[in-house]
Amino acid sequence: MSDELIDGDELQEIIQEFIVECTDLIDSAIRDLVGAERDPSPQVINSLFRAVHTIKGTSAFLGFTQLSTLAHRAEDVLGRARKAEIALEPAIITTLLKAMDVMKLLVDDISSSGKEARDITRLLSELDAVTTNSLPATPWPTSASCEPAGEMPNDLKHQAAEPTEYGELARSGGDEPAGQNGQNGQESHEAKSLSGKEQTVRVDVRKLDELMNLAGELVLGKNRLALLNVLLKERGDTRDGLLDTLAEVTNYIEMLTNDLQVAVMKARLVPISKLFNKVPRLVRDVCAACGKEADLQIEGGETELDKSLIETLQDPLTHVIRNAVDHGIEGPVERREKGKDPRGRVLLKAYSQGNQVVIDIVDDGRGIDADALRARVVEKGLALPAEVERMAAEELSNFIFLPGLSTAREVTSVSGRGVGMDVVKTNIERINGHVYVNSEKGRGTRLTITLPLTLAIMKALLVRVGGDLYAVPLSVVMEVVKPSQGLIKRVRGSEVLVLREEIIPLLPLSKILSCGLTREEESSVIICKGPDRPIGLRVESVVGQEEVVIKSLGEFLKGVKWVSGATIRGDGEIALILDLAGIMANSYRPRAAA
Amino acid sequence: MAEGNIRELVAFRIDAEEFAVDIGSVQEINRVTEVRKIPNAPPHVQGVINLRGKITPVVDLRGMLGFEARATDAQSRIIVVEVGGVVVGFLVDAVSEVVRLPKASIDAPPSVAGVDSAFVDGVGKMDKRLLILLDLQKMFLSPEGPRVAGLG
Repeated sequence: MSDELIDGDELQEIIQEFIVECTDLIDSAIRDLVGAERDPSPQVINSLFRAVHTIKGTSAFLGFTQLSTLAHRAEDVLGRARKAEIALEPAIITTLLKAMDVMKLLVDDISSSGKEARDITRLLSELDAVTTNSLPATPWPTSASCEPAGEMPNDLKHQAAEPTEYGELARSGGDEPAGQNGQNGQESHEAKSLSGKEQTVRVDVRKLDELMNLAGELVLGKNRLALLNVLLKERGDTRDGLLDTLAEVTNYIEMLTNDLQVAVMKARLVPISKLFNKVPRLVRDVCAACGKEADLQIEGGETELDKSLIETLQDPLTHVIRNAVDHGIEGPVERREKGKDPRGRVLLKAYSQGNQVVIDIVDDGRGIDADALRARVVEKGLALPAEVERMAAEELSNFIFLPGLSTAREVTSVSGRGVGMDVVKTNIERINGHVYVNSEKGRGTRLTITLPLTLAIMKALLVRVGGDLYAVPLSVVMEVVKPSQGLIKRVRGSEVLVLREEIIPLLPLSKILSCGLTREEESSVIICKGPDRPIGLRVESVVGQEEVVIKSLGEFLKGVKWVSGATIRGDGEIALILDLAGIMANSYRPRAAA
Repeated sequence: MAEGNIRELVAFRIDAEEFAVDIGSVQEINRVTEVRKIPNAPPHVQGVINLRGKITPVVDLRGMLGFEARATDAQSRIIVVEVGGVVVGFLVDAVSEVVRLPKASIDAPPSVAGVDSAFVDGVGKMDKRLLILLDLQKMFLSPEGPRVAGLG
């Protein structure tokens, strides 16, 4: 590497790019390896081979010999797998994953000190052992160890007959596991970026923060301008067309502001798959460590969320997944005894709802034992026996977010110290999100995380409940009706609206928000898109549509339920923004058998 | 702000008692605007106000100090303070003045009847007046203060 051909700065830039590219290649290789364990298709193996081959080449060019040698050995293994000379057994996958981890460490070394600084001789001999000692592969597709995609084992079919929240896991087993699709779909994308030129620029997130603030203030200014327009119009001074010009300019500014706001928001969004991609490996590792078997299903990886949230979510997500596998899902023997499929199922799902992103983590494990929880709560002196007796399941499950409240029978190496869930809640609330848990003993647990989209300038429907102003994200609103347009009935203690032959559960906002409103005063029902069916919100009156800037409630009120922020109208009045996803996740009962 | 042995304080009145807080923490003093209630708010958090475009929480200082609620009038004010990076407002019946008290005139807090001494920093003597000095850190940032959200 002669320094006369490439000067110092340019070299640094090249190395920086190399670090980024390498990290991406290693990450996607890890995903591919985990996917290949279940389904060693030629495409995946090829993709792995190419990734490692590239790492070998570029690191050699830049003089990083350890990385290059390691990549070369891995390439040898994958080369033989490609030719079906060896099968990618779990032991080999584990060794290759180890190799990936070490490669990452080497890249980190390079990133921090410019030099590789590891002893990789043991790993190299492990890789050598694999190449010399392995058995030849059976021709792909491999045998019974792989569950053919698209078929549901019989026990789960039995479960699916009773639709519950956890039944959705069984039902969706009928489709090809989304994670799998993700792998193969990913792979073609990878092919493009290996060769193509990426039209991207790296921008410091703080610059985007600044842009975001400015856009937000601009919208507030625009709102005041619009209000002024209205007031002036009322005065009726239409001489010399000045008012018309003002209106025209205001409209123009309004249009520009909208566009600017959308553009800034979009600039900050990244697909949540960035976060989800590490999960397959995590599940594999935790399963191995705890002796569990679990299948992971990922949905909605394309859902976008603000870049700043991705980092903060890593730890909480990791912890929740660990919990689901370690404590939620039972061991294969226990599951068989219970009539469940020995392989547990974990569903990681993301979707956007209005101005929020919702992440569901569902497992079909043992669920939260309400009685054990009650006992623990009383034992720790957090509540009196009489109080916990009276509590409904949702209220009770909130206790799991308190520190030290693990009901895990043993403290395993993976989790169980009881320090996890409170940290999860705190971290999520720090970014203005909320966590909700829903569980059914014996059937499973669902954890729902709702997050605001950070630059929140959103179109909202303003309503009054109990005389106070609230904002509902317009994008979730399907329609607004008067209760008299349908029929209100009580089903199992909850109210529903029967509208055009559809049964829509009604949520009593006045009760949820503690406003103490009487029925007669609730004159409208806002029908919104719920998690899996429309839901109606009873409100006192509808004020109108408005574009609002979402402001944080600040430190003191970060954890307040049902409200995800506030906004200030053009006239200064404060409207609270409803955390609809949270309200729905917590208050509504799943679709009961009709 | 303590300069040598003088403490500069803002004095205000709740019912018949006079209190004071360090002037360094006081950001501004406003007329009373409507406080928007927050459903299921933590204890002692009255709600929020619109402070020039910023959503600012208002804490029920009266309640925290053990006084009964009272309607506001023309003399009522909202004092906005900044404590440990957090901006918070609270309602008072009237703001008296800025006082400069020599430290020598400030006694350690005794147990003053009717006021939770956990929040009291000291008692200042000025002519015939007694000013109860409040410890804002303790009031707003400690577990006894509004920070405790409980399970809510």
